[in-house]
Amino acid sequence: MSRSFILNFESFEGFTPRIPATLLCVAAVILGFEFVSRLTPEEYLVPGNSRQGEIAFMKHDVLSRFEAPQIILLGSSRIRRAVVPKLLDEKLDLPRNSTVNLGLASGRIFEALFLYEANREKLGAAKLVVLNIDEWQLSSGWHLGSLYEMHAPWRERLEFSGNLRSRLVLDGLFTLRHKLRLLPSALSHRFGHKSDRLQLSIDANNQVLPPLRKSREIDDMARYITEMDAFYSNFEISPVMQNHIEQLSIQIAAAGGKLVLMQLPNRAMYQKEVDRFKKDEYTQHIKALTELANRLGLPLFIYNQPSECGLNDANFEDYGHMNPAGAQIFTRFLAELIRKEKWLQKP
Amino acid sequence: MLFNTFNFWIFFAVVFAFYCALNHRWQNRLLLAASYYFYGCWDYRFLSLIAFTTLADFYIGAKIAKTSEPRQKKQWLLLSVVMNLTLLGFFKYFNFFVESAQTLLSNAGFHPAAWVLEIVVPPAISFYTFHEISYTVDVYRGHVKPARGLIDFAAFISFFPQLVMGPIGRASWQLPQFENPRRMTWDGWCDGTALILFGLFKKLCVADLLAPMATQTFADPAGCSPATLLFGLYCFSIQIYTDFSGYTDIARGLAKLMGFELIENFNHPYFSANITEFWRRWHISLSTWLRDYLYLPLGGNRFGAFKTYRNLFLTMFLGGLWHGAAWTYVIWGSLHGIYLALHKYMLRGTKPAEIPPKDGFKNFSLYLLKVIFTFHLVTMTWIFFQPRSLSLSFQYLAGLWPFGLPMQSIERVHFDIETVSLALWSVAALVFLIEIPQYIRRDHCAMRRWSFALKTVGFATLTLWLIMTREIENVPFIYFKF
Repeated sequence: MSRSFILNFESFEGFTPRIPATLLCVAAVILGFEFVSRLTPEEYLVPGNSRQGEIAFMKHDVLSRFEAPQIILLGSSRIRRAVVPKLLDEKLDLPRNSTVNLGLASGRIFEALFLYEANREKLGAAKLVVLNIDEWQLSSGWHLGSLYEMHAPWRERLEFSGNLRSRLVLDGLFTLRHKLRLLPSALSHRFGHKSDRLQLSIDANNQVLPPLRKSREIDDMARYITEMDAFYSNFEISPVMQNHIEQLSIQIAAAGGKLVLMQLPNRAMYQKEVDRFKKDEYTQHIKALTELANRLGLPLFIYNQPSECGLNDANFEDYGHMNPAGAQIFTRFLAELIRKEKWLQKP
Repeated sequence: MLFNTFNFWIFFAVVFAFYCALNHRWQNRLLLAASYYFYGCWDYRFLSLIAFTTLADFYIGAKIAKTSEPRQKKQWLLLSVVMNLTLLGFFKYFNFFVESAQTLLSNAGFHPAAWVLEIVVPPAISFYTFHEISYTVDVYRGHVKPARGLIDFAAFISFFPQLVMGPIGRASWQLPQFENPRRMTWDGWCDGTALILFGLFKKLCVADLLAPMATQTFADPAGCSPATLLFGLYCFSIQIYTDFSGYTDIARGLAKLMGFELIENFNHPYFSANITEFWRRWHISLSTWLRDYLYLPLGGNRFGAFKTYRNLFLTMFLGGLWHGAAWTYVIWGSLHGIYLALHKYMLRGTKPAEIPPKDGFKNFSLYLLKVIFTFHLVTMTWIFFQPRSLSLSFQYLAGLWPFGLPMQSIERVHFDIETVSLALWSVAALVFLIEIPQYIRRDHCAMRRWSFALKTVGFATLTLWLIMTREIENVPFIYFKF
């Protein structure tokens, strides 16, 4: 059988191609949307209640109050709730507005890095940056957040594997996914619709807080397990996530500051469930975090139990967020630690 | 490597590029190699199983055709059916029957030694076993000539677009397509592309968005209010339809691109006005398979009313068991058997009305009520299809009753409001852009027949919606486990 006989395109006999007008028009519409969305400044597409909206709030509503903060707290909502900036200033005998708490709800390290880079002029003056690392922070399994999916560098997108890489590559090519999703809320936000506003405010203690939560069933074990399953879903320690800490540490060191890594305690009841069901994953996380801190020469404080910081389960409002009483205790504890370690003194 | 993964589309692009260039014989060889690679991606060990049964059925088919002696023909057929059903029974049902027998004996006061085997169910075994049985039976009945070549036959059995979740191929329809040169046409390409888009939309924009709500409620019915349970049930009902019919649309679209025509598997089942019509529109390849190879051989409706009802019940009972080795599926199938028998009983002596009625508001309203009733009947029966255990099904059913249980003071199940809102918009887009136009025009590519401007808007809307809602989280297709 000759080669030409095998490759003879016989299925195309009688095939009459036409101009795929509909296909071309649909492609033009989609590319047009993508092009316009890329040209439109992101601030027009940012509703208050999105991650980008939260970062914009931190920049315009929070950081504008601070001249040159000496202590910056970065990380997730757990640090946001755990540290009262005004109290920390008082306990460390620092001038007013020396501490700024920039914890973001479900905040990834990339988002902390993004926030730091975007406000480097102001934040670069800080002597101490405390980065709170949660148990899911080094894993690529839990959601990465729209900010990362829209702004991740191409090199990082390709470093992931499987479906995650496919998703990030598509998100890099078509930013439409997030922008179209954000658009209705953004428009609604522009017209002043309340539900699309960010439910955050900065209080007299310089603490950024959402409105008071309704009382939750804090002893509901099913809820803890649901939370835990979400945090540990597709658990995989990612070098990309670790690299974000490294990038942050380089930038802070270059600005003359000091980065401290800290894992805040969860409620003992929740931690017990983690030790029972997710021990391997948790151990992996601690090991990776310790190795990273050692490699970068960063101080690392891991608090596995609330009692290590003078807290108890009554100081939490859910699995790991401290209530106001807990925040007072932890802030005092942190002040003591900063004094003891002399992080604010020049080397 | 399922249709909702990136890897599949790279695989298909490569296969299709070669496929276009090759002649018919080499196309079949390529399809066979590609299909075995596709299957081997799950578990290469089971390639030997599919290869063995293919080889055996090819040989048996040839023997049946060659033998003129009816008794010998029957023996060969019996060999094929027994071989296929034994393998299916062993891999899929062995542990189920052993465990059920052990439970029965324990309840009777005996304490048998517990022994089950660690059996991995080969993917797609239910589907390709039915392919193969239909081939040997059709050869025996003289409905189809035996396959001319092993490659053609093996490519037909393992054809990758339909291998994992159907439609269940019928040799009389599909084998000639493998044996004769295929022609690609512009319309085939356009229809294929449209079907793939519809399928992806159904799967990624509807089924996958509804999945979390359905999964949450079925996992913890005790933690939901009756309204939440009802919402979760509607979600599952639409999810299972869009998940499965989405897969079928993609399979048919891929086949169309390559010049094949697969049988229709879904024809707007939720627009059915009665349960019999539902089964003519839902998983058509399975229901017609069960009709031709089970219901009719059992006697169909030829031996009086009672035997007709019995045959309907038995067919659906086994149809339920085909879905999986669990009592929930058996109950699900049995319920449908009862519904069908009841409907047959109600219809005795009357001629079914033409549906949908074309005259009068009153008739149409009545028809609409029947559609709503049938949808709810089918939806309620899904309660036995999704859960992992019978007790969860009954818990779900009891929870739906708003007066029977004390109201839950705290709902443990909470839905993400953004996902719910996206899912509802997606369902609306599905109904108004895909389902209703297809139903009215009785054409699965109805959107293609619209005016240029309208279809551009329609396709662009679906594509933009697909881009916006896609998660590519690789939510597995529900029927994959069957």
